[in-house]
Amino acid sequence: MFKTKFLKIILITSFIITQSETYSKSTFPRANIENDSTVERFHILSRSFNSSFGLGYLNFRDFATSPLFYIGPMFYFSGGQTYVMPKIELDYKLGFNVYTADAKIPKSSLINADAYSFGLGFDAEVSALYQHPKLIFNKQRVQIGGVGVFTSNIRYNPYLGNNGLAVDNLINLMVSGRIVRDISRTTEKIINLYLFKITLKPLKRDLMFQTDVGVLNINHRPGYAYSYESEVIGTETTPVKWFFDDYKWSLNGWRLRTHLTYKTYHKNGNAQSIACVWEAFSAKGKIEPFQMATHSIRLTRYFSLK
Amino acid sequence: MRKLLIILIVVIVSQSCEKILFEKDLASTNPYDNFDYLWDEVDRKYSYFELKNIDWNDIKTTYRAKLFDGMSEDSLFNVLKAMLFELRDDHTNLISPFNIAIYYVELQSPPNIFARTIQDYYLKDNVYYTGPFIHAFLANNRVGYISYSSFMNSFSDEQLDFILNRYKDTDGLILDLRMNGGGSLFIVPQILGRFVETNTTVCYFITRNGRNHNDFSDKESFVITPHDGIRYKKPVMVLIDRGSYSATTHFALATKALPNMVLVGDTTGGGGGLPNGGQLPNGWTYRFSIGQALDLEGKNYAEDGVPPDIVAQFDWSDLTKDEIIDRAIEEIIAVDN
Repeated sequence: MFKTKFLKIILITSFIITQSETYSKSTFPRANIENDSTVERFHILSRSFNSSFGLGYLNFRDFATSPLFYIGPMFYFSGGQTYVMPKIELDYKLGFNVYTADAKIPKSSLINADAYSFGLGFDAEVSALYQHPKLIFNKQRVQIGGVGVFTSNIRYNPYLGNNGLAVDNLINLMVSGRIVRDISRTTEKIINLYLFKITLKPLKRDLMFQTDVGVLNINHRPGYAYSYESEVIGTETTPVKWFFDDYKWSLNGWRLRTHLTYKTYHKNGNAQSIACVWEAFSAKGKIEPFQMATHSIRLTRYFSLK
Repeated sequence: MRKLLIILIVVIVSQSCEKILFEKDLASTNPYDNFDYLWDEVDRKYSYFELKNIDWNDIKTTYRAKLFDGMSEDSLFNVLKAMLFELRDDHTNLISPFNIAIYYVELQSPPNIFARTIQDYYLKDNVYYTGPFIHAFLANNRVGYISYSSFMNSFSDEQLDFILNRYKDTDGLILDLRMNGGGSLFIVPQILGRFVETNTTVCYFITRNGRNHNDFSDKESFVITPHDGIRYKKPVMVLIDRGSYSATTHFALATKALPNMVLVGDTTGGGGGLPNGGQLPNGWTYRFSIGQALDLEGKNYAEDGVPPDIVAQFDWSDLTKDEIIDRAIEEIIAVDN
């Protein structure tokens, strides 16, 4: 119930944000999909710099140190570029998030225990989505492709002594599919709210749903006993060696992501979007997995560079 | 409206999938869940079962029988505490909001230091306080005395430079580490680097890396690199007792490899293993040793304590003298003569 109301508020807010925008046929140049030459296939139709920020929450559990979920708020921001070509859309992005999380501890009959963790994460991502002509249907089109993601999550829990600090590194190759529906408003619309009226002008907009599924999942995580042998090798150590000496590479785990995005376009080529993003991964490592899921609402601004 | 409904359904479903994909929530106040979790963690990662000749399966049988449904948290804590005390390890603790389990190795032996004796009869008005160090000249300025109470206390290179420079003309130093309960291992090479002239391997460390009690990693060398600055080359008497634990035990173990450093006093309290940290299903936290410190011959006696090179005991019938300091001064002057 809370999620339904929250999403309605977000969607209505997005209407208010975009109500002043206008629609133009030249706003978002479409690919000439009939022409299949290699040169024109990679001809950049539009390029934009994107910046986004988001709020949400995450929950994670590191079985190596605790059976408990840690849940808390998260702040996200990223920057990147999007290249739109006749059949391919390329996206590069660097993202960061910071969070705090409290342990989900069962209630005590004496004194409630508490524990918290805080951390920051870093993502570097490249995606390529391919638009095949046969996957365009009336107002909908389907894009398929892949995403390569590197994620590094640094977290600290002061309650866990020498196991308090950990870095979880993931490399995922994901298969990606996106459905884009053109929900443009082609005529003026008036919303009668009794006390006042809102006039919505024609607007170019898309509703997109994208799913990414990890097919190659690699993680680099603390070893068996978790604590760092390099901490105890005297002066013959460096911070990097101290951090990673006992870390192990593993080819296991999984990663999933969904984005539901509402995007509106300005007549000058700029755009903006609001997206609900859910992501979850499990990095199994050698013995005990680390699992994390994030839920966020992200606002993105696209600044046209071409 | 129908489109909005579809959107909302898609969002809600896609945003809740982790409940299906993640394993179930293991948070629990059930005494059996918490006992089994702690026992299993210790079984998989504790490093001293063989050295201490501990039958961990037998201990499980003994202490699990003390549990019952509906027992109070205080009672559960006492059962878990008693089980952990079987490890006889001060690096093993159970921490709850209402109590902390500490084994207190130092209480197994008589104390070997009295601060007032040192203050009244040795330091007197001569004392300096430089960062965490308390220091003074002794024996007609022939000996420098430095007390360092905890490896939790950091200091700057400049502070240690000041101290070593002050005593550069002495015949030897006394470094008093009695009742130093340990702290950061990073500080051990910071101090020892002042007393070596070449890169010196002083001990080794191994860590549990498998399910079996004798599954350990390869030996990691603990190397002391000479400090690039003021160093002290004359004899150093390191005073230790049963209250010298953890990082202090590592320090004492390291001095066995350094010919100009001599241990005086009583065996250290132990704590040769690097402790980890973890959390139980009910939110209590714990730690225990997951590694071992080995001397240069590969022996792991550090957990039971590093023995002194010169044994000296405090005479509690005469509080005007500290026999351990006196013995150390005697040794420095004898070497100099």
